[in-house]
Amino acid sequence: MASGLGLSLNNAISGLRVNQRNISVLSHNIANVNTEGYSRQIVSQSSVYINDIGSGVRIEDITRKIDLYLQRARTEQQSNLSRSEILKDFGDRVQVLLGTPGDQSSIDEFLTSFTSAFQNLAETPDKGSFRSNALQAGSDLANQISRLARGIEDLRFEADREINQSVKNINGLIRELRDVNAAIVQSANVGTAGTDILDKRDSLVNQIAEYLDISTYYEASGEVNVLTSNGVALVDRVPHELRYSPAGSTDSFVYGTPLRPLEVVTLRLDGTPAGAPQELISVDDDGNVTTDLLAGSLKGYQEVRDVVLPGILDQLDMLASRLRDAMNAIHNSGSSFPGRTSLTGTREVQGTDLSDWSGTLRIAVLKSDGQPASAVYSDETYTGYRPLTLNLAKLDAGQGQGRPDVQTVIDEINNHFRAPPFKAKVGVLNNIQLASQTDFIPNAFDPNFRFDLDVENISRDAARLFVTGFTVLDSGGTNITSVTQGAPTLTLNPASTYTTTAGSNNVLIQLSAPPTSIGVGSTIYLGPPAGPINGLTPAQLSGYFTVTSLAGNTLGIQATGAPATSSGTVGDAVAFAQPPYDTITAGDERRTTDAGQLALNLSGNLASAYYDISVNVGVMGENNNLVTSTITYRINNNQLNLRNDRFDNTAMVGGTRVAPGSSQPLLRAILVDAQGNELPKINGEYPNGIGVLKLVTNDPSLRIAMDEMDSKHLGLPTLTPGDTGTRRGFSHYFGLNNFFVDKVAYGQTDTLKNAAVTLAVEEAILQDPNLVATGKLERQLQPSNSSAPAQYTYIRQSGNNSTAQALAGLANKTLSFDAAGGLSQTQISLGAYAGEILGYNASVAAAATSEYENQETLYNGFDERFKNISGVNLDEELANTITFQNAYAANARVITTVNGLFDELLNTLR
Amino acid sequence: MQRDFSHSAASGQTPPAALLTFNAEDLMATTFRLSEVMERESCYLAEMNIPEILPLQQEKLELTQKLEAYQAAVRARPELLREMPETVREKLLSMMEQFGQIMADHLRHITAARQVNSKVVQAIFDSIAEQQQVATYTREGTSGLGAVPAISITYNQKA
Repeated sequence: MASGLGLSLNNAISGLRVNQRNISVLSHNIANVNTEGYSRQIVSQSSVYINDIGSGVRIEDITRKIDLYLQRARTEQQSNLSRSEILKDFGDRVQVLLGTPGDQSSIDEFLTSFTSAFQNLAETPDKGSFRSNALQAGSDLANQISRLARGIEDLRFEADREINQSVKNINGLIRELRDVNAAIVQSANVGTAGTDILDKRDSLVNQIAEYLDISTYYEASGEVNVLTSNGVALVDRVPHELRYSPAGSTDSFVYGTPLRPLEVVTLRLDGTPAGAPQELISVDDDGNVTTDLLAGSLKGYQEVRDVVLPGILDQLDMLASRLRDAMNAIHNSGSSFPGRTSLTGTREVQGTDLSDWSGTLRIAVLKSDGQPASAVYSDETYTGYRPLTLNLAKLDAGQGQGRPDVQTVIDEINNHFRAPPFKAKVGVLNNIQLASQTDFIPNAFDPNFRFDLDVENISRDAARLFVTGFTVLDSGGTNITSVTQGAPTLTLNPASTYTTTAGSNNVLIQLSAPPTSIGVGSTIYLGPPAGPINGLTPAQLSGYFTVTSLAGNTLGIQATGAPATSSGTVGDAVAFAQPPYDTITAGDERRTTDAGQLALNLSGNLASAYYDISVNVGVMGENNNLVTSTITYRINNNQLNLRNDRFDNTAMVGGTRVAPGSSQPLLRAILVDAQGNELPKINGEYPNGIGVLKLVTNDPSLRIAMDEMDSKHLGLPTLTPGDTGTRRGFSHYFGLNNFFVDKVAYGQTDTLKNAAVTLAVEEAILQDPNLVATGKLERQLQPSNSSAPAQYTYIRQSGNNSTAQALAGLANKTLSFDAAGGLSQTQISLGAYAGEILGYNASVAAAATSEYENQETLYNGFDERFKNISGVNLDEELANTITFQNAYAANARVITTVNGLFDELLNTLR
Repeated sequence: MQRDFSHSAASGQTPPAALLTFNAEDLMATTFRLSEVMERESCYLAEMNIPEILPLQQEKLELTQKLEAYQAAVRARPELLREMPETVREKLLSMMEQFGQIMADHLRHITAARQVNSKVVQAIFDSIAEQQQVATYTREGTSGLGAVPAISITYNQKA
């Protein structure tokens, strides 16, 4: 047992040692005060009791008085802070890019300038400077949106580079921490483990936590094991390494090059990977990126790269695609003045592509002054070259009306603008062509040759067209007529009867059923009866008659003679009666498919080299002047791809056969590849290959003007799943006269993805402001000389501003925007949507800033406690809890009061 | 970082609400002073200087009561505000808008302080619970740690 004196000395020595050590520790603290991660070393003093007698203090250990819990909380908060800092930083940078509403560089300002320029143009569409200004504004807008999108992609690339840099940094930290761990073990083994090395350890752990969320556990020796929060080992007894292959450039993001995963590999001693890598950031086959990381700058960069910035791009793409599509829809509906020599589409198609269409379109070839190209027929001097009016709803490629394939559309255009044929002019009808509905002959399963007529009425009169008979001669001149007539009849059949009255022209004809398409005053055509009827000759009872009475199924006519004595009723089995086959309104050009298909049975000689088909027609204008004609068309046998082909007359009896003054085609519709070369044809068609539609005039001095009219692409709704189509007009569907284009690549158009970054004004328009579509084709009565025969034609006047007005109205047009990048689906104007983008991202940036400030405050709170901790007093902590609670509760009252006063003030200031 | 808040004109001058007579200048001074108090509290919270926070509560309460009295007064007689010169009203409005920012900042700091405090308290509880765990015998005869005992702590707020 130690003596009392000895005990006192021991106490004193012990106290001195402690003081000495404390001084050493203090000086060490001061020396390291600026060292990151250095934690205050606190000498742990405890009384040493021997047999309940105090024996003074002794230094149990120099330990760091660190509350592990607070340390972990701070480490975790470090990760949260790093992530939110990245989000804030990029949010701020996005704000700089986007600007704020009203900024000169913001997209809403560019949109305002754009619509304003088109409003000026609408007022004076023929003013060159206004066209240039409008074009410049459009180009500026496209460039700004594209630049913004590119800027966002640049930021994505930068985030990706930061991920790569982070990976390098983390690997450096991992290696360093492994060395520190080794040093700790070594120190522990020799009993010299100091706080410096432990501080170094903790500093490294904290630095790793800046990059990603981690969990740690400590060995008894003091070495630390680090795992990601989802359990992937980063630091333990075996070496690990993060691996990542960054994107090569911004273009990698623009063009959607798949990203690489971020992996952790375990290494053997020779540095080669052992086992399968574990992915911290995964990329699936569709390029979707997923990660279990929750915090840290790595998570922040990943989130920015794969979530935040793509969301903004989605918004910009939505804006750009709606702008592009709305603008193009209007631009395609009109034409420029004086127009283009060629129109090249942007949509890749095949000749065999089928689609439903409704409506009609018109294509005109004009001179540079907007007047029609010179006529090739002497009787069309005043009207010029006739435009094509194409009724897509009636076009039939063998799948039913209104479902033509691309080839059929091309054929229709080429049929019209091909080398001009002899014209069959009958009365007020300018031309009557035979249009085949049969695709090939001979056909062993269907000996009928089916067709309709393509008729054009350029007069001011509605024309009634009668088809009253056919003759088919084979190549040997043999009459093989066997009519299966598809034209409408009044169904005079064996039950029909003629009733005559002696001395009267009045003849009553009883039909088998009441007629529905005629009335009193209608003109009908009667075929001749087989023989005389009560003294009236077949000639007196055949031809064109006006219906004088109609009661039930009995109609009355006045025969061209009167029977002298015979009265009574006589049946007849041969005669037929017809109303007009079709009525063609003034200025209309179309096929007579609605009036009924005409079919001629060729079985009399299926091997004939050709067939001369003669069609008896009558054309009656509004003044009831009747012109009849027999028009002969020659159809060669052994032909494929006949459907929709036009056949020109080879002979006419009655009417006028007009010879063309030129044999040059005016315009061609073709499919071209990316280099502009026409796709190869087989049998005159494009059976293979993908190309874009191109219309080009053969004479470079001539221009094309297209009016989409009411044409509409309807897709293929009968398919499963149904394709409802683009609902676009013809020109817009093919992209023939787009204002905005996707500048990336040929054939890529109308995509939502990358719509913003690729947005550009079409190159040809950019080079020539005159190609901005400002107006539409106008129907005009020609000529100005009133004594000349009045005829319709279509011209393009420089002052026509209908399209420019529609373009100017785009600013106020309500468009439908799908949900994109956090913005909800909405229907608003382009300007309002641009405002939504700016507002939304401003609030996101503000939220990121707020979140960062919150995380920073919280981190500082932990850090402050961590640095100052020297023992924990539960009473003090609970007192603090109540202090905070009181302060917190008091705030509610403060806020309520100040808000109340604020409202009162606002009310008085209103 | 310590800030000097000693310059306030309204500091310590909060008369009982019942005795209040409407005074625009005083309303502004009170609002300004309350802003200062809240800013000061934010600073103390950031520094985790808890002892300094407590004395502020009383002044905060008094200033709030005074503003409540003003609010009641202007509700009863809205013309009091309307009679104020427009420049004063605009200034007061601007002051209150700034006050919103101060409160947002304060909310952030007090939320952080509460979270840190909450985690520290939780750590203490966990530590106590860990120490109170006792070894037990299992059916297999091996020893292990028993269930974590519930810890009951009461605290007298006035102590």
